[in-house]
Order: sequence, then C-alpha cells, then structure tokens
Amino acid sequence: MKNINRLFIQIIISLFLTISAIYSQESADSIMKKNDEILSGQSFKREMTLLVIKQGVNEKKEFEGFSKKDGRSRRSRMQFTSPTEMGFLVWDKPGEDSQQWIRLSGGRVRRIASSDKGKPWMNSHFYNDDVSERYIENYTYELIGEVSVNGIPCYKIRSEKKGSGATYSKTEIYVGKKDYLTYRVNYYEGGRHTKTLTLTRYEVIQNIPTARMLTMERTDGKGKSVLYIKNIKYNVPIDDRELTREALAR
Amino acid sequence: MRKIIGFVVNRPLPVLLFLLLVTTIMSIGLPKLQVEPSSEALMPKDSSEYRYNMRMKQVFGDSRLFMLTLIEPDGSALFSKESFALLNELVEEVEEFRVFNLDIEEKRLDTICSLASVTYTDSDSVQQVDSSEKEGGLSDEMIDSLLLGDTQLQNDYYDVFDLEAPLPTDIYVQPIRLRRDYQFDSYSPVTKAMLEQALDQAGFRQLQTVLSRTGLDDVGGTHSFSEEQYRAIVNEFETAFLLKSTEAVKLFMNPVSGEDIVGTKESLTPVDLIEEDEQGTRLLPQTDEEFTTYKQRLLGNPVFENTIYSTDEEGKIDSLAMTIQLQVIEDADAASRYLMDVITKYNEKELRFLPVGIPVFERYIQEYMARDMGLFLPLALLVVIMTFLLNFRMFRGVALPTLSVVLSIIWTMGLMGHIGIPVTMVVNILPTILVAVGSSYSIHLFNQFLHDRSELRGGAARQNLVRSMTRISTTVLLAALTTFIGFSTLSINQVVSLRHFGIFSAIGTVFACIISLLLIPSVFSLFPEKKTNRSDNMQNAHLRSIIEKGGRFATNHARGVVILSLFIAVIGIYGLTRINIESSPVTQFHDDSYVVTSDSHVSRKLDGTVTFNLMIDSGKAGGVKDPEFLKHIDETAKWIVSQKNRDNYNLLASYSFADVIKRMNKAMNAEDDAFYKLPTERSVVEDYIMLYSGEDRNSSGVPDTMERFVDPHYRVANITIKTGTYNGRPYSTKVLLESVSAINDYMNNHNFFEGMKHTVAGQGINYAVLNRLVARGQVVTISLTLIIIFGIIFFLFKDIKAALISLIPISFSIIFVYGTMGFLDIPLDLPKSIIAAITIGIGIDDTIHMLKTIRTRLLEGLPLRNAILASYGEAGMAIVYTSVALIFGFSVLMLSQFKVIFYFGWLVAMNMTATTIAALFILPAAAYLFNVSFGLSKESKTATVRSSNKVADMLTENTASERG
Repeated sequence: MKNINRLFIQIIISLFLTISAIYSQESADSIMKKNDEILSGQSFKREMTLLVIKQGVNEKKEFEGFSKKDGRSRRSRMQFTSPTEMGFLVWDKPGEDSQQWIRLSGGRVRRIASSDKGKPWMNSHFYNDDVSERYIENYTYELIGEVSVNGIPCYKIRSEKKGSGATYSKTEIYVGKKDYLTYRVNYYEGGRHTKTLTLTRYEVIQNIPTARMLTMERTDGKGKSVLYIKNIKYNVPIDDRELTREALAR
Repeated sequence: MRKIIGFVVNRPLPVLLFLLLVTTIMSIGLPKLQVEPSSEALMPKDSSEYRYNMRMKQVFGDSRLFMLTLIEPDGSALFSKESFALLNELVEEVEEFRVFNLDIEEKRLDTICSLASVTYTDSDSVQQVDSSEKEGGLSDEMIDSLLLGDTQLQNDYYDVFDLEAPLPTDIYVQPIRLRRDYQFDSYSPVTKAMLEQALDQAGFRQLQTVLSRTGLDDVGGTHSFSEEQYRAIVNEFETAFLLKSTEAVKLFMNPVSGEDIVGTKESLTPVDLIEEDEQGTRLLPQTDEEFTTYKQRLLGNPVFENTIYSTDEEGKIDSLAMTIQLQVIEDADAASRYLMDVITKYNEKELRFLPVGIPVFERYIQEYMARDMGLFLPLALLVVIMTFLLNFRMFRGVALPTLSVVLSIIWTMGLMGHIGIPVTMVVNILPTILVAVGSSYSIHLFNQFLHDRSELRGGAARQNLVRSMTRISTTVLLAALTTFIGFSTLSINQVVSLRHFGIFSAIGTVFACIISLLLIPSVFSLFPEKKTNRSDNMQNAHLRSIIEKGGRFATNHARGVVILSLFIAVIGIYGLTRINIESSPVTQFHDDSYVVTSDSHVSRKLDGTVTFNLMIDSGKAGGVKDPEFLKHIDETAKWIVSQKNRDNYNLLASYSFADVIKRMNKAMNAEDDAFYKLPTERSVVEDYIMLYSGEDRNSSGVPDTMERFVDPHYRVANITIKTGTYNGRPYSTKVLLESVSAINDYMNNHNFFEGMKHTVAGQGINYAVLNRLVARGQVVTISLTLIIIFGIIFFLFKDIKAALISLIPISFSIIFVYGTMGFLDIPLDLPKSIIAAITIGIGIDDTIHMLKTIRTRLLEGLPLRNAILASYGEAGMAIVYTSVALIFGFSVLMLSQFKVIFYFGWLVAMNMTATTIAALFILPAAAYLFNVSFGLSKESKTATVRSSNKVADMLTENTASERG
C-alpha cells in the first residue's frame, strides 16, 4: 500500500511537472506581443551615424532623427547633415501602407512609390521598408526553436507577412527569453536567407532598453550597413509641424 | 643510339609494357581535356589590353557575356495575344536565372527526386565570406573606430587604369552550394506524364528544356524513363539549380519584364514595361488598343530602339529583341549554353528567335570543334592507313605505324589533360598534325625493315635488327629534331593557344619519335619475320620514271628553273604584301553558317552584335555627375556613331550614363520629348540618381542598371560601343583596330578631355589585339626557324652554300602560299599563322633527305649532276610517299565546320605540295647551278674514305645503308 501511495504521488508529481512545462512554453504570439509592448517612448530625438560598407565604396552619413507617436500611428523624420542634406519622412498607421518621402539635395521632395519599398534605403543595405513601423497584427508567428545569440538565450520565431506584397518572404526573429528584446533578425527573399540584422550594445536609457548599434549584413559577405545611435532622448516635445512634407522640404 | 635500340630489341616485353603503362597513365588525362572557345584563353596575360579588360570587368561587368536575341514573327503577327503569351513564357523561364527563389527551386528538385525515390545527401553550402575579408570590407575594430572615434573614412579607390595593380581574383559569383550527388539505388520508374503532372507550371517549362537538352524531347507521355535517362534529367535540373543560385543572368532587357523609367510629380522609379497584378501575373496586352499603348511606351524611350525593338523603313516596329548579360561566374559558358537552349526551344512556335553575340559564337566554336575532332582524327588515320597499305601492303606495315601514331596522340593529348591545357581551335588541329608527322617516322622505320628483311631471319636476326634499326634511327631523330624546332618556335608566341600548340606539337613530335623507335623494333623482335612471300619494297616504276624525268629537266635547265622560281617568288612577295590579318569570330565560320547569316541580319536590325568599351576617368570622385562632363560624354557617344564612323569603322551604336540621365530628365518632366536632354545643374543629376533607387543586387555601390556605365565612385564613365556587320561588310578586327585609333585620336584632340585618362577595352578589343600578336608572331617564328634550320644544315654539311640552298624549298613554299592568300584575299588568322612553322618543321625533312642523298652519291665519286639524278630513285620516292600522306592527311581538315580551318587544310596541303616540288626540282637545280660541294673536297669526292665531317658522314652512311 505504501508503495502504491508512493507510485501515485510520483505520477501526480510527474503529471504536474509536465503540465507546468507545457504551460510554461509560451506561444509565439505571446512572445511577440511582449516584444512589441516593450517601451519605445512616445517620442524621441536622436543623432545617428549610418555607415555603408559595399564592395566598391564605403560611405559614412550623419543624420538627426525625431519621431512621435499618436496612438499606434507614428511619424518619423530623418534629416541628414553630412555629407548630404537629404531627408526622409515616414508616416505609419495601422492598417495602411506606410507613406514615405525623400527630400533631395536641391530641396525637392519626392514620394517613395509603394513598389519601391523593397529598394535600398539611402543606398544602404536597409530597405525603405525597414525604416517603417512593423505592426504586429500584420504578421503570423511560429515558434521554431530556442537558440543562443551571443550567449543570450533566445526564442527563434518565424514570421511571415499576411496577404501579398511582402518585401521579405519570411523573417526569423530572435527574441531574448528573459527580456523579450530583439537580438537578431534573419531576412529571407525568395526563400533564401539574404540578410541578417543584429542588434547590439543595448543600454537602458530613460528606462527604455535601446540597441545603440543595428547592423544589417548580407549573408554573402558582400557588404553591410551599420546604424549607430550616438545619443537619444526619449519623450521630448516634438512639434507635429516638424513631421510634415513642408518641414522636410525646408 | 645502338645501345638503346639494342635494349629495345633484346628486351621487347619490358619495352612494350612500359609503352602500355605510359599509355594507360596518359589516357587517364584524356577525359580531363576542356574545350575553351573564349578569346580570353588566347590572350597574353601580361598585355595591357588583357589587363584593362580584366580590371574593367570587375567594375562594369563582362562585355564578353552579352547575348542578343532578335525576335521576329514567324507565321503569326508580332503583336498578338499568342505571340506575347509565348514571349512571356520564355521571359519567365529566363527570369528564374536572374532572380533566384530557393523555395521554389528546392521544391522542384524535391518533387522530381521523391517521385522516383531518388535520394541525396545534402552537400555543403559554399562558405560565406565575412565582409571584412572582401575587398573594401572593414573590420569590426575599424567600424568601431569610425563610429565612435575620430577616424576618417578612407575609400580605397579601385583604379581601372592602374595596370601595375594585381589583377582581381575571386571575381566569380559562387553557387549557393556544391553539386549534389544523387543516389538512384531505389529508383522507381517514372513516366513523362507523371513528371509533367507533378511539376509546377514553371517547372513544366523547365522540364521541356531539360528533355530537349537530354535528347528526350520526342518521347511520349507514357514513356517510362530508364534509370540512366532519369539520372540525366535530375542532373540537368541540378545544373540549372546551381546556375540559378548564382543569378547567372545579371541583366535582362526584354519587351516583357524589361523596365522603363517612369517619373511622376513625386517619384522617379523603374517600372515593368508590362505590369503585374497582385498575384504576380503579368497583364499582357490583349486588344489592339492595349498593343498600341504598349508600342507607344516602347517608342517613348530612345534607349529601347535597337535594344528592345527595331523598326522598318516606315518607322514601325517590326521586330523585338532581348539582351542578356551574364553574371561573372566561372561557369558562364554552361549558363549561356543553357539559356540558348531555352531561347531556341521556343523557335518552333509563332515567333522566330535569333540569338547572337560572343556567347553564341563561342558555343558554335565549341560544338564545331567537337564535331571536327570527331571527324578529323578517324579520317586522317584512314588516309595514313591507306598510305601505309599502298606503301607496305602487309598487316604489320599498317598496324604498327597506325598504333604508333595513335599512341603519340594519346600521350600528347593525355598530358595536356593532366596539366590542364585547354583545347582551343588551334590546339584542336594537333591530333591531325600528329597523325601526319608521326606517320613519317613509322614510314622511315618500316621502309628500313622492308629493305633489310632478308637479313632479319635466322639465328642472327636480333643482331641484324639492331643494326638495321640503328641505321635509320639517326634519320628519324634528325627529322624529329627539325620538326621539334619548327614547332618549338611557336612557344615564344604571345598568343597563349599558339604557345600551347607550339609546345605540345613539339612534345608530340618527340613522343611520336620515341614511340616509333620503341614500338616498331620491339614488335619486330618479339614477332620476327617468318618468310617472305613477295618481293621487297613495292616501288612504283611509273612514278619513279616521272620524277627522274623531272630531275633531268631541272638539272638540264637549272638556270631557267631557278629564274622561274625567283619570278614566282617575286610575284608571291607582292601577294604577301596584300595579305590581311583577321581574328574576328564571325570570319571563322562559313558564309552560309547560322553564325554568319544571323549575325549579319541581327546586326542590321539591332545595330551590331559585339560590344566593347571606352572608359574615361573624370579624375575625381563624383566627377561623372558633373553636367559638363556628362555633356562631353554624350557628345563623344554621338560622335562614335556618326555616319562617317558607321561607314568607315562599323561603329553602330553607343550607350552612356548620359542616356540614363536624359531619360530620367524626360520622365521627371511629364515625358516631354523636349526634356530628353541633360540637366544643367549637378544637384539635379544627384537627385535623379538618389531618387531612382534601383536595385543593387551585388552591393557594388551603384544601381544594377547603371553599373555598366559608371564606377561606384562616379569617377569613371564607360561608353558601351556596339559593332557588327554593316552594309554587308562583316565585323572585322582590322577595321576595329582602325576605329580604336580614330577614337584615341578624337579623345586626344578633345580639349575637354585633356589630362583625363581614357582607354578602349573589352571583348572586341581582345580579338583586335590578337591581330597584332599574330602578325608579330609570324615574323618572329619564320625568322627564328629559318636561322635555326640554316644553323643545323651548316653544322651538318659545313657548307654555307648548302645551308643557303636548303632554305629554298621552305622559303619558296611559304612565299607561294602566303602570296596566294594575298591574291585570293584569304586573311591570315590564328590557325593559319602556324602554317609557316608546319612548313618549316615538316618540309625541311624533304630537303635534308634530298641533300644527304646527293652527298652520299658525291661521296661515291659521282659528279654533281649524276649524284643529283641518282638521288631521285631513292630519296625522291620516299619524299613523294611521305608527302602524299601529309598532303592527304592535311586535306582532311578541309571538311571542317570552320571556314578558317578549311582554308588552313587547303593551304597546308598546297604548302606540302609546293615544298615537295621545291625539294625535288628547285633544290637540285639550285645545287647544280651553284655547284654546291656539300662540304666535300675534290679529293674526298673521289675517295671512298671518310671525310672529317663526322655528322654528315654518319648521315650518308645511313643513307647508303638504307639504299643498300
């Protein structure tokens, strides 16, 4: 009888542990939701450097960026200061295509056609689409494993855009198991892994975890582009008029 | 020599085993032989043109890899639903080589494998290289320093004009993985219908191409593929997969998926000529109105004229066109062959596709070379077998010389395979030449055997055989030495394939000599002659009578013969001055061949088929964006295609960065034709470049569509120039060289370009450079060989007169043949440039044979005239027999698919005839007229004792013993 009791207790404990384990395994959607909910500030101003390393030529560009949220919509503007005076304006709104404009060196402003979202942004390895907001509900997610990125345990999540017109056929997002921060993204085009974005040098600035360095690298070794945040201030007042086409043209 | 022959005769088995062993080792190299049709294989790697081309290739792409296709209606309207549906299918099939979709291609491979239970183990991916290891890559430390420190960004400028800089290596785009090894152990047969049903629509199209490439296109739906057939199909799909993974098509301009620049008030963007719906289905024009709109779009972009469409005399579009530029990949030839198969597959339907360009030339060169190789060798062998049969009339007399010739070919070609020497059009002739050369050594040895056969039976047979073979071996060695020297002089030629030909024909000569000396005596020793059934040495009394009469005539009228020869030579020299040098690929083919007819037609419709480049260095980064610089580039491009240059130099089209900017300016100004001009402000040019935001698939720093016009620093502009057949005059390297001079003159006299570097480079220039090298190589080869031959004869006879007259037959025949070429307007080209070396190398044998026989007779005390006449019965007959073998052996080349090889065969055959006639009649006449003493004093002529000239005596001893 004693043995039966022990066996029964063992079964109960095993069952409990199994169920706990199953329930502790988070779904891809919930991981991405937590990832999405990480504070990014209502607004920010920052100074950045873009380093483009290509086979034929390397470029270093400096720019200032400011961005402001309105609900879930976001407007961002990037104003280059060196060596060009070009600018870039992005309007993102849930359920709508991102709108983008470019300010040319002569001051003229041109709209980026939606068919050009997969074209290089500022001659870098980022695409125009990469500088737009990524709305969580526009994608499907699937947890495909757990791996370590630079020693940080991460969930590996496969993501595909719903509907047609995706710039990438799929992405694999590596989200930290502890902090739900994004550490790496693998980009696939035509089923082929073509680029990898690595987010490094995380710092907590004004309580907001911030990756200071974003490196987009081609998998064939033919170049990479590095975005480096020299400084950033969150939740600063930004006049809405600074985030318009007129302001971009100035 | 006696010791060696003694060893061969006394130990025949080890010698034969040695021959077998070497033959086995060499034959392993045969499958390794690679055919190389490219002109790059011919170019000297240290020439400035080659280096410019290689450096240019990395920046502006490879001008060799352009393939144009003219599309004409064939029993259907050009602008019809059916035609465009067909065209769309073709474009979609080619597009898969431009934009690689791993998912689709992997799925397709998996489908064909799983259907037949074919398995595979995953091959390794090609190792990805860290960008820091690539040219222009930066290390992480450097990136940190640039971002966080004070380090200023320094760009390493890749100077296209720096010829001293090392040539770029690793310029090839690699496939995504290594080739898979598929296992067919569990193969379950699959029918064609099953395969067709299992594949997606694009896969079905690919299957049609694969079946046509594997020769299975005629099988019915119920046909069940054998394992071997299915293996071929899977391998073809694998080949296509690997090529697609390199995105083998770098640029694809076509009337369906081609891009136009469209400007709106707000944007400037590349758009497809025919748009796609959301599912990616192309919305092909259906109605007359839609076709009219489409045609207007084509006509709206001047760059499309003669690149995407061509018009009739009324300005109406009557044909379309596609341009494919291949990626710089190692397997570019395989890619161009596959794509040609794709294109021509659609020829059986409503449209007619005519692909042209260097890849097409090279494909035909490769195919024709293979056909020639398959034809020449057996036919040349047949000819010499017939000669052996006529001469010896016994089994061994045919089998042994034939075997000896075959072995020398296996040894030579096998060695080339082992070393990795490519087979070019010139090298392709080598086996035929070895047949001709090798057969003469065997004839010498066998003749000696026949002569001495009565002594080769009984107890002392082996000793007698050693003595007999030793007697003739010096003659064989001397003949081989002179031929070796003749061919070796080509090894200093700057043209790589001529150098290869020179080296390996010389080595082949040595092989043929060694094999003859080892094989024939060892077989004689192993299988001695049992009995004689017929009289020795079949001599043709009638032939003998003819040449003896000729000899008498030559000596009776020595002065007349020499004067007549001089007269012919003077006329020949005049003809020689009229000779043209030509290396263009089109002229290599027969006039009625596809290559020539299509090139002429397409060139007329699309303004040329071959491209080359004019590169101009603005001198500073961003200099190309300067409107003033662009204006002068535009003017230069227009000047290049001026009527005068079209008429004089076949310069038919030119494209530059200015054309791109002009098109953008027009697009940004509401498609107003008045704005098809260059902007006057630099900022506008910069804006257009930034706004265009085209793809940069290779991360070069310049959008792909602009890559062939400007370097990543916007410092060097590249004008692409097209040439081809014009007004019935084919693209000619001679004319091209003149055009390069004209372009250089224009650039040097243009004030704006003063101080700016410029150069002309590209595939077309490669061919033109070969012209110069061919001419230079001819002079060096002929001079050097004549000097060496003169030295050898002088060394042999110690008589300057003998040495001088020994040059008469070969000089006469060279002048005669080259003069004929000049009069008949047969251009001198790469294959024909080896005629002189062949003439001297092989032709000198006749001279030596004749001279040493005359000397033998002189030694016997005969007066010069009698000595000459007595030589005809012996040397004369041998010369005629070997010459007949050579003449008919080389005549086989007249069956070549190439016009140049046809003429080569004809001219060499004529040359051999001229050499024979000169050796038999002009040489004795000259010897008699100038009373040549052959190094013999009066006393030695009348005495039977040996003179002090040991080498000559050794020869004459041999001749005497040959004669018996």
